[in-house]
Order: sequence, then C-alpha cells, then structure tokens
Amino acid sequence: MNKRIYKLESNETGKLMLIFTSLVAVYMLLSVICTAVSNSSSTDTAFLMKTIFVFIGALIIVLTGVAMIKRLYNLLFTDEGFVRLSFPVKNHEHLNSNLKLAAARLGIMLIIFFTGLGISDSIAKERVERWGVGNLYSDIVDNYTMNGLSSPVAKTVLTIVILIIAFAVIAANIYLSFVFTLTVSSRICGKYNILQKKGVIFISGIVMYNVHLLIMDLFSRIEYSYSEWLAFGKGYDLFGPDCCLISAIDRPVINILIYGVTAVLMYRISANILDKKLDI
Amino acid sequence: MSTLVECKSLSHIYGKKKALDDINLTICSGRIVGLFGPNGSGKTTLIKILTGMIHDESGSIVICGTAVGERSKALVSYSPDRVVYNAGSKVSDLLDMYELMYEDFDKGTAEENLKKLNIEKEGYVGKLSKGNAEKVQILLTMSRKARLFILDEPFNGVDPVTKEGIIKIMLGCVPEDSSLLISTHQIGDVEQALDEAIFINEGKILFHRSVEEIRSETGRSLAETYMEEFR
Amino acid sequence: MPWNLDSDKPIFIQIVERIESDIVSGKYAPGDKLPTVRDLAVEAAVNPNTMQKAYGELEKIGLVYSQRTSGRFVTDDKSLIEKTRKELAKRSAAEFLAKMKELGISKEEAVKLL
Repeated sequence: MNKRIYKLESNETGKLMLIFTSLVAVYMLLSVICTAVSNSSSTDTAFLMKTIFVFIGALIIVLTGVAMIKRLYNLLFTDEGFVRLSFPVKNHEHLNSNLKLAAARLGIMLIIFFTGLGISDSIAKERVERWGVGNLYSDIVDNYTMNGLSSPVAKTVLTIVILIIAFAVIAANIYLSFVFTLTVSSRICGKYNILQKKGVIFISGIVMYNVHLLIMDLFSRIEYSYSEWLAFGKGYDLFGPDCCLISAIDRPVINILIYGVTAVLMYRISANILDKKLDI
Repeated sequence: MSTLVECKSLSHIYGKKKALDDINLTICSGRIVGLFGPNGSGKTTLIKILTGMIHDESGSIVICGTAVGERSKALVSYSPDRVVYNAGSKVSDLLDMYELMYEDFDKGTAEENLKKLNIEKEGYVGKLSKGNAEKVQILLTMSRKARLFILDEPFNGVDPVTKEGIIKIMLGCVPEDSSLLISTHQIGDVEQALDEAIFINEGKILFHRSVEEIRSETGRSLAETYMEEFR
Repeated sequence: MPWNLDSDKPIFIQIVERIESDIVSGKYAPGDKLPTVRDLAVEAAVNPNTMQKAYGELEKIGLVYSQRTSGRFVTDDKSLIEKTRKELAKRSAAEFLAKMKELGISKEEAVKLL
C-alpha cells in the first residue's frame, strides 16, 4: 500500500514541481549567460542581471519548500484531511511521502542551482579546465595544498561530504520545524477544542523560532569556548599542520549533531501525533 | 450475521466537555442503521472515532476484528458531514485517486452512476452545485465494496429530489453482508430505509433498537418518537 | 418513481398492498418475473430487508412464487388473483364507507352519490 501513496503524491505534485524545476534551470542558465557577457564589475548591467537571476533561482527553491509544506497542511489539517486520512495506510505515511518527495525535488533543484553557480564561477575566474560544481572541490584542494597539508584530496572529499550532509541536515531541520509546528498546534487545537487553528499555528511558530534561537545561541557559546580552548589551551601548533582541517570540520559536525538530533525528534513526535493522537 | 463494529466503554473528552461518555455499541452486518440526536450530541465525534479521524479516545473499538487503523480503513467507507474535496480537482481526478488508493473501488459503476446523474466527469469539483458535489461524494463513498459505510449528514443542504437520488444510491450500493451507518436530522426521509435506530444525546446512547419494533410499540413514526424524545 | 408510504403503518404491509394491487391491475401479468429485492427496494427507497419480508409475505399468500435460480414470479393461478382483486375491492369499499360515515353520510346516501 505504501507505494500507492507515493504514486498519488507524485501524480498530484508532479506537474507543478516540473515547472518549478525547469524555472530554476532556466534562471540558472540565464545567470550563466549573463556571467559570460559581463566584465565582473558590480556596476555592469549583465553582472547585476546575473545576481538577480541567481536570486530568483534561490527564491523558487524556497517557494518549492513552502509549497510542499502548504500542501502537507492542506492534506492533513484542512477538510481535505478527511479524504487523505481515510486511506488505508498508516497516517504517518502521508508525512513520509511528503517529506521524501520534497527532499528529492529540493535536492534536484539545489544540484541544478549549485551547478549553475559553479559554471558561472569558473567562467568568471576564467578557469575553463575546472567547471561546474568541480570548482568547489578545486578551491578546497587549493586551500589544503597551500596550507601544506598531507593528502589534500582525501581531506577535501571528506570536507565536502560533511559540508553537504550538514547542509542537508539543516534544510531537513528547517522543513521539519514547520511540520512539527503544524502537527503540534493541530494537536493542541484538538485537545482543547480550539477552533482558531491558524492563530495557534502562528503562535506555536513564533515559540518554535524563539526556542530555536535560544538553542543555537547556547551552542554557539559552547562552540566558541571550545575553539578558545583549542586556540589557547592546547594551541594550534600542538595539532600540527592538520589543525586547519579540524577547524574546517568541527562546525559542520556540531551542526549535523544538533540539527540532526532535533530533526529526528521532531519527526518522531509528528509521526506519533499523526498515528496515535490525531484530531482533525 | 456477524458483528462489524463493537465499541466498549468508549469515551472522548474535548477540552472539559465529555463528547462521548461510556458508549457501548454493537453493529451487525447486513443492517442499515440510523444515528440520530440533536446538534452537539456526539454523533460526529462517534463517527470520527470509528473512521480514525480522531485517535484520542479511551475504551475499545473493534471493527471487523481489527482495531481502528490502516486495516480498518480498508474496510470502512466514510463520507464526512460536508464536501471535503479540493475545489481545484476534477471529478475524474477523484475517480483516479479512489481507484489508486482503494482496492475495492469499482470505477465502472461509479462512472455509470455519474452518467446517470448527468455529472460531467471533466468538471471541477468547485464548479459543481452543492447538491451535485454532495452526490459525487456519496457516490464515490458508496462505489466501494466496503464492509461498513458511514455517511455523516448526507442530506446537508440538498433539495428533495437530490435527497431521493442519494437515498437510492445508498440503498443500491450496499452489498448484502455490509452495513450502513447514517447520521442525519432528516429522520422522516430515511425512516423507511432503516433497520435500526440509535438515539444519542449528550454523549450517551439513549437506545438502540429495531425501527419496526419502535413503530409497532409506540404506534408512531420514528420522526415522531424523535420529537417526543428531545422536545 | 417514489412510493408514497405512510409513516404510521408498518412499511412491509404497505409494500405488500402495493405489489398486490400492481398484480391485480395487471402491471405484473401472471407468470411475469418480478424485480429483484434490491432493485425494488431502491425503486421504493425502502430497506432491502423490509422488501425481503414483503416478498416473503406475498409468497405465503401464494401470489408470488420463487424459483431458486431465476428469481421470483407472479403466480399463474388466475383464480387466486381474482380472489385478491375482490379482497382489495372489499377493503377499499370498507375504507370508503368508513370515511363517509365520518362525514355523516349514510350507506344509502353514499350509494346515491356513486
């Protein structure tokens, strides 16, 4: 049965997402063209256009995320929920199908986006032999080689993998924060028989945001004292030439930990509410 | 005749109000059962719990031998008290959706019935008249070969002719060993189609009896009994 | 066409009367196949179980017989139909007279009216 819900979800969102993806592709292509004709000065019209196109591309990606969350809200917490939740699948499958398809679509869009950026960059820097996303790789390899590190290539790959994971985890966390806000506020509305669902969602959203800020602040303080301790307690030199690597990686790793754990928690709670404590 | 639904000491609390208070209910197969009560008596809450829209109750429910969940949902076909389809989807989209999601959905019959009712398949749900939208919803709900059909207020704001059409769809589509639970205020209209009636008030079941029994015992129609009970 | 059923009398009795009069009036000729329980229940907008009961009653009277595989048929026994016709006529006449009595019209006056 699980397959059916994915099929339904992709049937219903497919067309719109195809349009969004091709729009991102078109805008990134335009930005590459503008880069090719610009002379890289910030007053140049082509350069300005390029910035605008990249901005629009990013905006469409954000909009895609918003559209998918709005869809989840419509599917589960408005009248349409009566149709969806009657389907013979576990309730959290609806959440899963939305999450996975959103992840796949956003992933594809982001790859297109960064490929476009990379190509623009290689054109701007006139490094034709390194093009596309490869630029990021070359830049980090250069950085490691310049710092005289051993095995720069392996470390570069590691760094990039961790960076990508960190980025994905943060994006997933933001997406799940919205999902979490929706399910929790719907639960509050059901439990206390509140009809102003949108108001409750708004307030829980603000509360969530503030909690998020508090946690992030706490962890940045911990991280700061940790790097202070690294710098002055042990000292960079003690770590030899590889200390540069550690400072490049520790922030992403901490991010993955914090964002990952909270994301998993929020997912578990949301799925649990959907399966066991639902009230629409 | 087997038991389709069995509720034991079922309760549900909304805020501070007891929407359902210690409900014990058994529905057997092959019956058409009416659920009656004033507004706010707990009819819709009971239905939402049976269909898994609310998952927050205390007590036990067994539907066709399983607890409320994805397996019971495969056996229960449910139409809520208002039209709940996305206004932007076409009737044919809905047909495809039901066909994809329910193994027991009979698309051929559904299409045939749509044709009989003169409803355009390519029309948008939002453009349909209220009566037609309601009809589409009942029709799709009834086009499954489910064990238990649950209709909540199927005659909300529809004209008498549409009402009759809906009753006929209802009666024609229930398989012999399946049951139909229908909640409505239009008692007189469904009275002759019912086997049993459940009267519910303030979250409690007043009685659950055969309609014929009530009529022969009181000498009054069910609608009159209702008026008597709740006046 | 909906059947205008009275909500006070037991429904199955009203259905029996209705089918009896349909047979007597020739809507269903002797030996004709009757609609299935479900079809007739949908047409009358009544419960299929009630319709089943009504058919059972008709079978008991003998106006209808069922063949296990092919469904229910109207009896070929013309004398039975004739008897039913007379019974129905008597019942209507009695009803008419009762009504006339209510209006304060005597039997003779009623006959004159006719």
